[in-house]
Amino acid sequence: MKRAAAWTLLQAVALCAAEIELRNGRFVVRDWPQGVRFAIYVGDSATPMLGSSSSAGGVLTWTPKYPLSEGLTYRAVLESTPPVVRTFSVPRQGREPARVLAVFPSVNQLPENLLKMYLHFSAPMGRGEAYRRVHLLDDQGVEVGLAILEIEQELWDRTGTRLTILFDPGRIKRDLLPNKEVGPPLRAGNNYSLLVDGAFRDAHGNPIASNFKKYFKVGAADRQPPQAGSWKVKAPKAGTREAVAIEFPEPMDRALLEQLIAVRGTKDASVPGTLSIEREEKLWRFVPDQNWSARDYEIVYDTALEDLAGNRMGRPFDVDLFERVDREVKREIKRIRFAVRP
Amino acid sequence: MLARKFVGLLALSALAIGLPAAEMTASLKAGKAGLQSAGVMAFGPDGILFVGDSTGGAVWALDSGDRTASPAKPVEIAAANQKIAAMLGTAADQILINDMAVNPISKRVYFSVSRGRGPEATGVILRTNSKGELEELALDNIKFSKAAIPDVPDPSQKDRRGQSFRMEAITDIGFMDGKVFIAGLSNQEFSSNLRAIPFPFASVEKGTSVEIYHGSHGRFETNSPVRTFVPYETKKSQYILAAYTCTPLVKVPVSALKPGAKVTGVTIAELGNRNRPLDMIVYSKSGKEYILMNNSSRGVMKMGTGAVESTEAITAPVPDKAGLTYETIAEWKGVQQLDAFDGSHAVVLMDAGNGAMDLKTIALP
Repeated sequence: MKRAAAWTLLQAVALCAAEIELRNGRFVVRDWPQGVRFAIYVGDSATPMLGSSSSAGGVLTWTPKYPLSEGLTYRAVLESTPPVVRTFSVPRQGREPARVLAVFPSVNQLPENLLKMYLHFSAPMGRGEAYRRVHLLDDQGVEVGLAILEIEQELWDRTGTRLTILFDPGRIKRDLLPNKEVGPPLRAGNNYSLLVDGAFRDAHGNPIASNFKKYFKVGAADRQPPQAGSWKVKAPKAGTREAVAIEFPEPMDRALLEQLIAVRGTKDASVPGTLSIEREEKLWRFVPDQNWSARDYEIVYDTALEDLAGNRMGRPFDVDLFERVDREVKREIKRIRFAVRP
Repeated sequence: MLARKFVGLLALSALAIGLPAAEMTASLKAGKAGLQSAGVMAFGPDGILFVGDSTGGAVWALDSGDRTASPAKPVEIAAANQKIAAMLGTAADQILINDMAVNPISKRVYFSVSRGRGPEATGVILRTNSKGELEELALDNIKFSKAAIPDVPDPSQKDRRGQSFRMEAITDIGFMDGKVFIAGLSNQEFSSNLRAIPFPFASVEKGTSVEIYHGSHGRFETNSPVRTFVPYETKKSQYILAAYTCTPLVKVPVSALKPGAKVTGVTIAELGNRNRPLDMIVYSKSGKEYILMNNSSRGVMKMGTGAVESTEAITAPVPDKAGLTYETIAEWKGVQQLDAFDGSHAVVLMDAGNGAMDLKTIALP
């Protein structure tokens, strides 16, 4: 009896001596009473975190399966009698708030059947709230309901800095029920703004610097597919690094301009250089790294290029089958030859 | 908050046609499955879980090792999202539950989760265990195989410095008759892609990729990305029943999905404005088959499938509720994820308010 009491006393002393530390993202228990359960919890949650432990020389090291998150408090519990509980806070790192860098189309006169907008941010953003943070407002500042197509996955790029907004194609496409019921989200003759709410959180959970608004006017629907025949190609001079440029009669989809046009030299060799999109997406310019040689080059483009209303090269967004227009279904790579001369 | 869904009944019929299940599992090799993201999911035969990885541009076949049939015990987990976040050592607002799928053999419920919300988020798979508690499906040493989703040709690719902005969001995934079906939506060009990749994945097999169109009343035709779909078999044919981003519900005969084909989905219901279908399941009750569709604004909609085989394409403008008739199940409010559990129940992840999402087993309507 006396002996048992003494052992309990010794155990209690040993337990009190147990120290818990957070070191390099791992929890370390010194003087760990062997076999006593140790667990980590987020805040006041009763669900233990996933992790693994190892022990050596009376020291238990507990490694979380996933790294600790900034701004959270973790509760380390050694389930002895009485339990030893320590809390550790992981400070948030100071970061510049993210902001909206640009919205495309950059032009402020847009067609009624505008299909897409691209929002560029200065830092990676968080998924899961885009459609609560991006709003279409009318000229009174009232939200236009159900204007933006909500895709659960959200249409981000891999860096999390570009968000694609699609205006509801069911409302844009002629003759579909939503189009009949409520019409297109944008109406010709009206003014709108696209609001990016300052509460939009970045990848670290911090809100962006401020609200952002893009104001624009809406004109007639554009149902004419782009035609390469209407492009003006400006050829550079040989022996220079002048830009080769394509001028379009209407603004084009920015992302596709950046991706789907390139310059080729002899035997289809790629020509390295830098491209820029200017004049509100009506000008594509390419400056080569090396001087041009005096010979013919080619501009290669993919017929998946679109204008602002989702009209593809040679194929309108919604083809009116009664009009018997050319229905180009196949996506192709086409070429425009240009001569570089002294 | 997506879809796929596949009922045990269909799985069995698929099995009867495709390779033996054991042969499918044998095609998987042990190692670390390096998912860059975990999105839409669907079960194939023998506990094989297909996971869409939009960031990695791939589909993964994972051997869940979960192929012991068990009597279906209803699962109930209050604030499941908060529990998942706590297990992953983070806050509930720093995870996203991307999809939920029930293993038709074991009835265990699987979740694909993003831990973190930014581009560096980790893809994680969790599931309920035999006690109805949550556990992680370890991906460090698991039998798997992977099919890369080929990128579209890109003329400026070889000139480009830095990374392309283009990415394809995998909006849904399903399995039928030895093929994995994948619907994708680009973040650039407005096109649709429905792929059928034979499983087991062959190293060079890219599978069929077809563009899907939608003809509005026989007059206006557009590309039509698929938001959610469900594989569906009748005695005569196999279909993909798909909800387009532009709202109509269509059927696409699987036999039409051939390389280079132009496929126009046949409209079987016009759902009208405000419809944003998230998940679809097919089930039978009292000898009749139904489609249950979880809809972000209209709650859950139920419609009979009896007419799918015979429904004529809707070729003239019609008032709301055209084609297959449907009813709205008002009691099922706030359903974020939906899947078939057993013949008479569904599992749902339901918004309980205050940021909590409850996992519940509910009798099918």
